[in-house]
Amino acid sequence: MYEEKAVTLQRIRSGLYIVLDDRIPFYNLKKLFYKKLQSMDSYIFHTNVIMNFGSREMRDSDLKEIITLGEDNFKLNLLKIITKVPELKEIAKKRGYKAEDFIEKSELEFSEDVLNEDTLWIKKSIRSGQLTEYRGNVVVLGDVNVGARIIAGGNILVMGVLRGDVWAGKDGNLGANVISSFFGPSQLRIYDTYLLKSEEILKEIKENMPAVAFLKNNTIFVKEYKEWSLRGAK
Amino acid sequence: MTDINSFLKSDVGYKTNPDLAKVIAVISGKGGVGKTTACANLALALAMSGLKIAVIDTDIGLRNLDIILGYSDRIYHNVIDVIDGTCSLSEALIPDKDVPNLVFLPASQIHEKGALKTKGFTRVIDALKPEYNYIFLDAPAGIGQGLKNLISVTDSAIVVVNPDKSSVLGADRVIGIFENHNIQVTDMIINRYNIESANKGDLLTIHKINEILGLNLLGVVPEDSSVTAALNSGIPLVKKQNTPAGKAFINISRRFLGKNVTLLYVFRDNFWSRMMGKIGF
Repeated sequence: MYEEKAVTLQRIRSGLYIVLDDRIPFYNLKKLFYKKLQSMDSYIFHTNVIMNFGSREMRDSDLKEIITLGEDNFKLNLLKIITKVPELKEIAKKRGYKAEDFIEKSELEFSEDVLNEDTLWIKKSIRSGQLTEYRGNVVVLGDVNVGARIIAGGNILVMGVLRGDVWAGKDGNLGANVISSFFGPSQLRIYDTYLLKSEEILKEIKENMPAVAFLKNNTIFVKEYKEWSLRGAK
Repeated sequence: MTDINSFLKSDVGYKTNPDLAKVIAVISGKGGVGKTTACANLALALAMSGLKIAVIDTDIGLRNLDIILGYSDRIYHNVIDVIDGTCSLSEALIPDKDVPNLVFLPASQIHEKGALKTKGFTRVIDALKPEYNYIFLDAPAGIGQGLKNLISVTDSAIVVVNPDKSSVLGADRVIGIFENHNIQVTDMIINRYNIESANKGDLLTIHKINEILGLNLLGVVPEDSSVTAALNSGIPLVKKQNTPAGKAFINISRRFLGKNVTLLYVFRDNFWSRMMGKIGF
């Protein structure tokens, strides 16, 4: 019974608000925390989080353990800690994290518009074998090499050469686009549809010009960027 | 098209801490591209220029570096013995006969990759660091346990590629693994290059390889039968300077130390095609 309520997640403006119940033993909490995050699938990667420990008293090693659990396995980015215990607040500040008594109400607001702006910036090339998963848009300021893979809930924009596998609009965003300065993906997918490399599309890709892939009537089309943007990105 | 000489430079040789050695792994994705040859000759050329160099063969179970350096009959102890404590580090190190600045720590032939324990290996590297300028690690091929052993001790890495697609894409994968562990790979060596086949379109050109990998070019080694001859005779290429490949390795060692050295004549287009290019044919 209490296990379901031990770890609660709430979407907020800056990312995710995690409330950890302070009544259950720490050993069980660790397990439940890991299980809960794992059940969230790829949504959770690279998220900014605020963690609420309530009035739980913790040692330095315990705090480090639960934070590294999130950082190593789910690449979470801890913004601040909410706790009522002054000792824990000092420990957190020593480790370089912000700590406060309570969370302000304005921070808890959430709307769908926020999702649209949610973007991960990658300021390097993605090499073969590297996987990037993000629930929002992904912008790569570099190349995406053969064998690299990007999975995004929103749009994907690659400023360099796109040669890898990309999957935009994973969670049902039919309006998602894939844009690249040098377009040549080995595999492209928007929501549940794959790009079929027919002769027409290969001709379009061959030019090595900036191009856009979009979904229309259950088929993926590729257009030169100039042509697409003139028509007003409908 | 940009000039090749514009990306002929090195970031690996630059040392941040002058008192401790920099640990450099020589890696590749595919096997047989010339990692061991490059490692042995680069280390030897640097040692000849007066630096103190240590070379460690980390290809446990399939050692090769001792054959190329010509030490095969002098191996009594190896790196696994040092880690296990059966012999001391100074007993296991083999100095070169002609170049006393170079020492070599051989790999074990009877163990497997897992025998190289991270903790013990780090201790061996730390013991070597104050006495040498650079430590070279000859990495095993592939991306298995053998490569993961190196990650905790390596400061920087040099990639060796052949001008073919499988080797270049394999190298890209290995660079990705190193970058995941925050080790920046900046330099590459292109081995077994032939300008005539590359211009015909049979091999990838230097520009094409640089476009895929995006690294500095430390040097290019030509396809040369003297490389195999040197391996079989046990006298490293660099020790007999009159071969093109040997000269290429000497140039690589000079670029490694930050000098500006242009490519060898064998990699340039011949006089007539350069003139034709300038006129516009």
